[in-house]
Amino acid sequence: MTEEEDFWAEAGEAALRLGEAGEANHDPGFAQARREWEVLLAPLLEEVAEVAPPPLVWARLQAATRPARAQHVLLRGHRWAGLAFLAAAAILVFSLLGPAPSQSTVIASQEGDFAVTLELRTLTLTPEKVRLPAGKSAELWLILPGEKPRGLGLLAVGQNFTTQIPVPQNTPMVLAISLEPPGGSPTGLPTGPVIGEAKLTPS
Amino acid sequence: MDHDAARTGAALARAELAACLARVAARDPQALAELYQRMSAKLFGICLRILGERAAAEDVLQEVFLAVWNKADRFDSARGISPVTWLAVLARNRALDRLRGQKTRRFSALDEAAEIADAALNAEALLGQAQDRERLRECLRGLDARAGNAIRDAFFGGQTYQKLAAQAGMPLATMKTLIRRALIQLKYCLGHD
Repeated sequence: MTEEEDFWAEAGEAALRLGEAGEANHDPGFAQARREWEVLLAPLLEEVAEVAPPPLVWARLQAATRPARAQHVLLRGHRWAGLAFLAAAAILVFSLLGPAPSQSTVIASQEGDFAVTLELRTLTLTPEKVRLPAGKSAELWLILPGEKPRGLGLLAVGQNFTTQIPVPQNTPMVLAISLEPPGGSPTGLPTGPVIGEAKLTPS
Repeated sequence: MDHDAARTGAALARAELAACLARVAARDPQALAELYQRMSAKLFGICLRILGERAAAEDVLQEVFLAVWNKADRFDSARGISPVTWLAVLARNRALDRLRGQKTRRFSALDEAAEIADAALNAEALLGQAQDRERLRECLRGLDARAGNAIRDAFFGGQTYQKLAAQAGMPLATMKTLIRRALIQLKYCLGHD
């Protein structure tokens, strides 16, 4: 074996991950040779059967790549532009991927807007310029077909609200926000005016 | 003529995918959705083949797309490597890293693309991918059968020389020599020396 052959054999071993445990060869030429092997052998990867990943992966990827502030910026002072954007985005995702595991909408109200996203069963509400009447709190309700409203919790005007919702697939649900006394509804059902609502169908 | 048409079609698809990769690296969510739709099944197949376990394969698949999004790995079309090959190699490497329990590879990922040997990649650019595949297959067939099988096995990970030697029922040193010789033969056969 020539020295050059030896070098290529070693780089090939590294590409096959057969090198010795401490194969910490930092030489750029070696890394390059190893990389070249990886590309030369890559046609083997084309023989591997395709497998559709579960929708969960796309949902997680979307959650990981969503710019946290984009929705705020879009909604600020431009409610309809924001709604149009979200609707367009939802249609786009649906058209590209079929039933998408992630959905978004907006609960618009006189008191301000709440951007809503639903990823699998994780519901997140982001308040946008929300101002509540003095002495009132905002309570979120989940209403399923034929059922009484279920309280999901109080919404703070200054921070995101996240909860898990127990909704079966393809069941249309309504989210509603009502004004309640501080601390929430005393009866377990909405007692004040409903200031906004939105309909979602978890996929 | 058909061959030319197929080639033009392939070149177009390749250019489209390369443009899509660039848009993903520029943080275009629409491009990410497009890339995911086109490539996720292929890449998930690779992750699953290497890791043999869905949960880990799902994690690595997400990691691969995030690497493109975060520019941790960059595709450079000027280097002549096809975007499909680039993504497949990226997925294989990440899956093998996971298999070994390494969080990330030791190389500087940002500069990795720049380290690729231009000679090899230009050669690859000249060849159609189908031709690459056929050529590799032929070259692998030309090897000692035990070595060829061992290389295929090792390529999908989780192998050591000890395991390969045990599977083939031969002494460790013999297996090492066999593989190293086969790699050199393969290199000559593939035409890069």
